[in-house]
Amino acid sequence: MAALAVQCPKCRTALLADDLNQLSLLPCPGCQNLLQVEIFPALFRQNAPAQTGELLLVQGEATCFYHDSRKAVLPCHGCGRFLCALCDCELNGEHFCPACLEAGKTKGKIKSLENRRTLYDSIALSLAVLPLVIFFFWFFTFVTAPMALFMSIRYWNAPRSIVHRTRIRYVMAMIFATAEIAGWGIGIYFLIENLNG
Amino acid sequence: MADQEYRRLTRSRVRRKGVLTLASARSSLWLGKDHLLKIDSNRYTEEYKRFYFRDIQAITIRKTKRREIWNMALMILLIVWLATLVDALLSVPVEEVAILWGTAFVFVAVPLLANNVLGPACAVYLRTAVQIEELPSLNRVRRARKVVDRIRPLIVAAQGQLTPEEISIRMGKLIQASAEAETARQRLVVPGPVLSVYPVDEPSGSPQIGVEPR
Repeated sequence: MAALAVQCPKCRTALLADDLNQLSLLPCPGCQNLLQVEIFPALFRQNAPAQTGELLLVQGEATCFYHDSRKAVLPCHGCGRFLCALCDCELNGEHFCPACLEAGKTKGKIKSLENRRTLYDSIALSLAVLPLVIFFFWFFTFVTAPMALFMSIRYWNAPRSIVHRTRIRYVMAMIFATAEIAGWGIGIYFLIENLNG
Repeated sequence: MADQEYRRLTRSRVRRKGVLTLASARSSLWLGKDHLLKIDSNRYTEEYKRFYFRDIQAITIRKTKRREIWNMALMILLIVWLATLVDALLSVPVEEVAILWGTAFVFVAVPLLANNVLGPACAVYLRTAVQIEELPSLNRVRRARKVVDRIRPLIVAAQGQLTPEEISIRMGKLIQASAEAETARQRLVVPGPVLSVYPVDEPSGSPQIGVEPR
């Protein structure tokens, strides 16, 4: 980070040591905006230089899967391939090769790397309920109700929100969608009956 | 339920982006085993950002004027409603304007009251080695302090604690290192020739090659 010192978020004035870790809001020396800044030891931590991997000196030693000339230091937790220090990516105490890390991120296998999820349960519930709430669009339920039912069944086992969430939205969507489909069925039946009779 | 991975720290709040506020974009904060989780949601997708306790460098609470601005706007609305009410009272019976008064109270006075009960507004920023992230769900000073008080022991457990003396010494070193880095950066920038300091050859005069700049 270019600016090492702690700054006021508004005017970017560097704050003095006396302004830090105080119990009350203090005025910024630059803009007089009230601030309370708490700093932690990580601010002063020096980043360790990146490891490059030890070169192979003795024939017969285990080598890295990705670099023939470098000494293997540990196996990948995902695929078991031998890795050198350069290829070793540590994540929460586990060691992965770059390929497994990438695969874990894209396929959602490593939960702590996941940074986006689609909430299919909310989509299904909206498809079932929104056309009813927006009263003038109730006739859209002819299309949205089957879609909501399909989504609820198709994505029943799909990962929901990363924070605790039940399947209540799927259940509600299915109830509403089924009722709407039934309503349409009954309506069409009576329409045909009236046309015939 | 007994072994939940995340515990809620704040309810989801509207996330502001520039001047316009997207009503559907919301942000919330959750407490994990070794990190804070910020969830930005638009109801149909969620985006996650994790801040590990070992990486948090600083938390800044900056008081904003949002409460005062809302107070002003709601007071103006309340005055307009009251004027309308007084006008209506002079011309129609009280029973007929009671509903109007009730509506005014619900839509203006209650938010005004809530805005003041919640306390001063603020913006909270969390700093790590690679980013400074705003936490929109912490928008009141009281709530922000409550959350900081809750996560402080976890950060201290992960990183240790700084004494006031240590802060002074280390900040001094940090500022000095910053200044040295800035000086070194400036040295790397090679200044181009400044034409005005060089003598201009006279067309009729003798050649002046090798003449020191003035």
